Amino acid sequence: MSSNTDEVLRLEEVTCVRRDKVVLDRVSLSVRAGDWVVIEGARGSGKSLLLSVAAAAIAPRRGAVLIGGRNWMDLQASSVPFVRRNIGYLPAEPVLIEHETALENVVLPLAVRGVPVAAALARAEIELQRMGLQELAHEPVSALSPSERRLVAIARALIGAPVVIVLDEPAGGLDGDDRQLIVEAIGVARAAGAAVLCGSADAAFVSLLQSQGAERLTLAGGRLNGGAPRMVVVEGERDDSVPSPILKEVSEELLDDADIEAVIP
Amino acid sequence: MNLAWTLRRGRRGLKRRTARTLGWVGAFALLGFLLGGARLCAERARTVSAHVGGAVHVIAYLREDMDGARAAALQQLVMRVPGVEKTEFVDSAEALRRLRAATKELATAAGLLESIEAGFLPRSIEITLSPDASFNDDGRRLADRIAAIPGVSEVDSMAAGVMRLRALAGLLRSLGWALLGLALITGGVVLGIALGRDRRERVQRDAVLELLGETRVAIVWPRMLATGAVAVVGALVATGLLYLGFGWVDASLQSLTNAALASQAHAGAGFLSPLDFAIGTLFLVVLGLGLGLLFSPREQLRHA
Repeated sequence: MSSNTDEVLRLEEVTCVRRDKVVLDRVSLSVRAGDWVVIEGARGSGKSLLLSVAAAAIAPRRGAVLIGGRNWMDLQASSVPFVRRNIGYLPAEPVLIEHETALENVVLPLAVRGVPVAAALARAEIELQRMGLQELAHEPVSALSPSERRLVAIARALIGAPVVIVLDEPAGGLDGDDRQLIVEAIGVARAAGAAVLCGSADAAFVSLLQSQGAERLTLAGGRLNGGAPRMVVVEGERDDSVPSPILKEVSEELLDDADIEAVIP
Repeated sequence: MNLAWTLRRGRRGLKRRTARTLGWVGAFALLGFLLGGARLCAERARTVSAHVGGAVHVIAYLREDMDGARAAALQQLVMRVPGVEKTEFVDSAEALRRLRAATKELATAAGLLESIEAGFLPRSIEITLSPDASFNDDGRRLADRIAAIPGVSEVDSMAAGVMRLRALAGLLRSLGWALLGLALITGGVVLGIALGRDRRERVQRDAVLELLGETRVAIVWPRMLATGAVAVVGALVATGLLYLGFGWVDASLQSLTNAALASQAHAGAGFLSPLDFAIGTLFLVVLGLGLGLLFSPREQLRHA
């Protein structure tokens, strides 16, 4: 697999074992800035595991996961959080802080990155508005419906245009209008330079993403089929010469603090 | 998360959970109150015990016709009696000076004492028993023996008052132990609440913050800061309550024992010293910080 300066995420020969069964068998994947990859697979095929490995949430048994050209498993455990700050991750079962409001939940990634309060809240409101949740911004998450909670979790994953966005079953339990909202929101994140990796068992949703330009890969028998994704250019919106503020200003500073190399391409 | 975000989230958390926060302050205040109360009781018991040990237990009043040499011989004789710790000869002038000093605050009595001549009050030998003596039995037996000596007109045994003081000291010690026991139980309950009620919420919040790339230090220190601050406020509340209440409790104890000596024993007793306050507050803060550390995430990777 050739190295590419635009490459933000790279899985090399990743093998994962669960209950003595090989779930991911030497999976390799390369994702570049602006790419949109959707991984389709049946339930139990290992999609969620693959996505959690890509999101630096779980370390594989074997193989390497390079984010920004650096294998995050080579880092000290105390440095891994600084890598995670560059990843917007939606787990299959989103975890939210129940007693806090939708706005407080969505703004958290920017709070962790140390973005000034006023600017972060303004961005969070925009993100909620994009998800059609502006009316519920100040409601506690515990009072929201399952679909609203999922939208809040997606907004949290997309906020601040992280380098890599990993979404596991983003459309789970959502209707057509909400799915369209998600697709549009992902498009905005890509335009800001993010690489998007989606996983879904929903064929209709996968088709919808494909129709919007996503590259489709299939995970079966622990192997990825469909070849390495190609660069996808979003015409008229992407500007590689101007990285998003999070990409350059915040992340580099945080990574300097952690004394590790930047994960930003 | 930087300081601005930490303060903002702390402020919002306080606003959202005012009742729970006040409950925590109350728990720490109760714990501090009980610990401080136990310390005060121990201090009072020590003061009373010291007074019991150094008090005059028997007074032998001498006849007017007893000369100085004979009085000195009698004092030597009393010193050889088993159970006697020390003796002091008090002449008429010293007795009058002490009486005037004791009645100084009574304006009417002061006028009456002016007319009393120096030789009016009887001379006496004040006897202090050794700490291991049985005040009730030894004091009475000694009083009987001294009363039979020629030249002694009257013997006053203070055994009853001493016994009351001893009872007071015992009561204070028991109260102190009871308060300490209650403090331990309260501490256990506080810990139990932390283990149970807040655990789910705390684990959930930590999981989210970890997912978003928050470091362990940044997750733990605001929580420790919050519980430490709650402990300090609780300690201040406890100190205030003790300061307001300890005078009343002292008066009640004196009234309960109905002993004149008890009030003398309490005369020099003060409130908690700055060192006591510092140690108590430090203990509560350490407890608070420890609770803040409970269930904190550890930096470890999950593997598959």
